[in-house]
Amino acid sequence: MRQFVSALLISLFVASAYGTACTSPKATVTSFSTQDATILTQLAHVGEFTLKCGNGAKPTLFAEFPCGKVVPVAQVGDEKYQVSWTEEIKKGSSGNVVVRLFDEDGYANLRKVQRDGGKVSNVKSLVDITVSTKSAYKGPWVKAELVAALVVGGIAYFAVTTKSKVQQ
Amino acid sequence: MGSSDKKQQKVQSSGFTKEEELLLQDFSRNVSTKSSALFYGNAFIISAIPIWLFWRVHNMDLLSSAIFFILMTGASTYLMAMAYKNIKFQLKHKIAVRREAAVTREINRQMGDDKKVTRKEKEERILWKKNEVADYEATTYSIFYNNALFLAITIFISFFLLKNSAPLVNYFFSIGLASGALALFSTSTQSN
Repeated sequence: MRQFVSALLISLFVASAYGTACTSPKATVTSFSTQDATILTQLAHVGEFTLKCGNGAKPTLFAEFPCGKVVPVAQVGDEKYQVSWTEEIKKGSSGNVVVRLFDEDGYANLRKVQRDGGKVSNVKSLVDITVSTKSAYKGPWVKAELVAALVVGGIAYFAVTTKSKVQQ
Repeated sequence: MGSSDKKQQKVQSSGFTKEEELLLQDFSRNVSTKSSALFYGNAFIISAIPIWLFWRVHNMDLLSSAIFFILMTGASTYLMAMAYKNIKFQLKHKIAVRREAAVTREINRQMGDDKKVTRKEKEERILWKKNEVADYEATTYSIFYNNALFLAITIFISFFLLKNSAPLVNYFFSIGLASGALALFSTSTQSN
């Protein structure tokens, strides 16, 4: 009898855990990137998304970035999640970054595949979101002092050549 | 007033004719009060302009560095005025020679029909006019030439040569070297 109760309890927990599996997920993403990088060393990108599951579940999510890194996703509100990452300014790029999202099951599978040395891309994700990143302003292409020096240098060159012409 | 009186006396006592005086003026190193004022005014403005650069761009404090600004601006004004004067002197005669034909033509055209004007008077007029034109051109060109070089040297030293040094050191050297070099080079004589 006692064994039966404990088995029932376990199956209940398992059921409750698996019961949160998200069906037909839909995500809408808004993204933000560092705009001015003139005095920074790293660029930050934030993707905030709302995830709506067909069954109303609110799963715990993990995100896999194109570089292969997997991190937990922060839940910032009801059905609202946030992924963010930073990158070196020199390597900073703009464009769309596809972030694959996994729920706990997917994450477990992912870890298993990683342990076995298999292909991570084969693991089916819950949903993929596309975070659009913008490149930051890294300062003017040509520095003002260089422009000033070139302009004044040109005028000075004109002055010197005219003087030598007059003195010939 | 006193100095001009003295000059007048000297002119009279030197025994030169008016024409000779005019000819001599062509080679004279003296500058009139008007052009001297022009030189010093311009030299002051061009020497004071870098203060803005060092105040706003190199972040020097205006009040606490005021004494250095005043000192360097004063020294630079003196050196620049000297450079203006020397370059003007170098150019004046050359310009006078180049403008001679045109000035002669113009004066002849103006006075061609006038029978009352004697040949000597006409020549004097030409000399005077030529002197005036050359003086004006040499003055303005000298100011332009020295200002252009001053700004070029200042910008080059302050932004490239002494980019990483303290603003005060940067200020001293860029202004001092720019005006000093111009004053020095203006004293050189043409070899040809």
